[in-house]
Amino acid sequence: MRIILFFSLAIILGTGLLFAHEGEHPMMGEETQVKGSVGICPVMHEPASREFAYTYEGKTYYFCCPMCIEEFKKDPQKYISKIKEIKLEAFQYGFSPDPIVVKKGDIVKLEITSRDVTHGVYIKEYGINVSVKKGETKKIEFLADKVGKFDIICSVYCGSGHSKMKGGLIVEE
Amino acid sequence: MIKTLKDKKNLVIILLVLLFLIKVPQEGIKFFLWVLEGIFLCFIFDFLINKFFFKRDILPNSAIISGFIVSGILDYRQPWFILVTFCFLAILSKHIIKFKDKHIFNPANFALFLAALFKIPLSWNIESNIFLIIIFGLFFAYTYKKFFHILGFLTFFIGLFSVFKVNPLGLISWFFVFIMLIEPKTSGYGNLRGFIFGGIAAIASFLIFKLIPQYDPNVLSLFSVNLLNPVLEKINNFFS
Repeated sequence: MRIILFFSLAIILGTGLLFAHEGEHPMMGEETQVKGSVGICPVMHEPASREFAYTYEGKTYYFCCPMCIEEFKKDPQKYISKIKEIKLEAFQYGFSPDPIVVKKGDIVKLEITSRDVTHGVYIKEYGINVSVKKGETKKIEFLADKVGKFDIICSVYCGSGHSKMKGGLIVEE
Repeated sequence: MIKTLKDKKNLVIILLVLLFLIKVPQEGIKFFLWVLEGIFLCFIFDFLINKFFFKRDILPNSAIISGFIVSGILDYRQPWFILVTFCFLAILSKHIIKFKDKHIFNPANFALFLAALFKIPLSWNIESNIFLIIIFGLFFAYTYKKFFHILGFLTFFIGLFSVFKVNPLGLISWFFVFIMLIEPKTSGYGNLRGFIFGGIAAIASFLIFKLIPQYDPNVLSLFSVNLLNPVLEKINNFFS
């Protein structure tokens, strides 16, 4: 019996190591991109592709298909106004700005930095869990499709005030 | 009452209850229920494993401590099955990973190590008041004869972090130092062994902070040093 239990534990440990090697949160949703991605299509809210790019007023936007580019061209401001770019700074022991307030349907682009030590940014309801070292910038993009007030917590131990390190994400109707 | 207080495990439980009660008003009912369930689960798992596999009728105080630590450190926003799984793993590790009939890993830390590998956030909510932790912790270190463990850890932790110009006091977890690191059964006895044990934990913690900072340095470092327990025992035997 003990051998069976031992092997069960070994399998769990092995799976854990595998997840650790993959480097992403196993519960992370598709809406989160850390690097190498071009984000969410502002028209259809689907994952965008590098293939379908359009530059407007010096800024490049990425789309999921050519039709979305045409749709965007008709009224760019309608879509641009729904993109919220926020520089989020983590520090011992808080986040700035706090709270982050957006509207339902906004595409939220977080540019995360750390002021001091390594911190994590974890928003359970949006499946976001990334760590950011001091001097590093991580970009995350997600569609604010759930209304409510959500906790942003630090998921990497950062000192004795770690448990108090909390911020808020408010998604208004 | 005095008899109860003389049992050091009960004192640890009293400290954990105080830390828990301090945190409840800040975190709310979900945290309250999460921790209570963690304690209950660890207690029940340990009781049942002892009763049915080892034919022993024990009311496991140490499982209550494990339950407090697992549920107090794991983020309570997670689904319930996460708590059930990791409480079970904590107790299971105690019964099956053994060396010379003693468990190698601090049970709660073993479960938290697995949780860290699965990238489940560890929010350390139980670390709610460092003054209480230090006052009680010094008493535990004295009564359990674990000052050298702490000394070894602090010497290397403060030394290494200071060399690399990172404020060590800003990163140290006093709950980890005074409650988890000096857990009596898995940290070993003896001044030299204790100092080496603490020192290795601090070095591992520093390396994790530098090389893989996305992982919890406390939990991973204690796991690493627990892994070396059979070797450390030989060092102790060699010098004694």
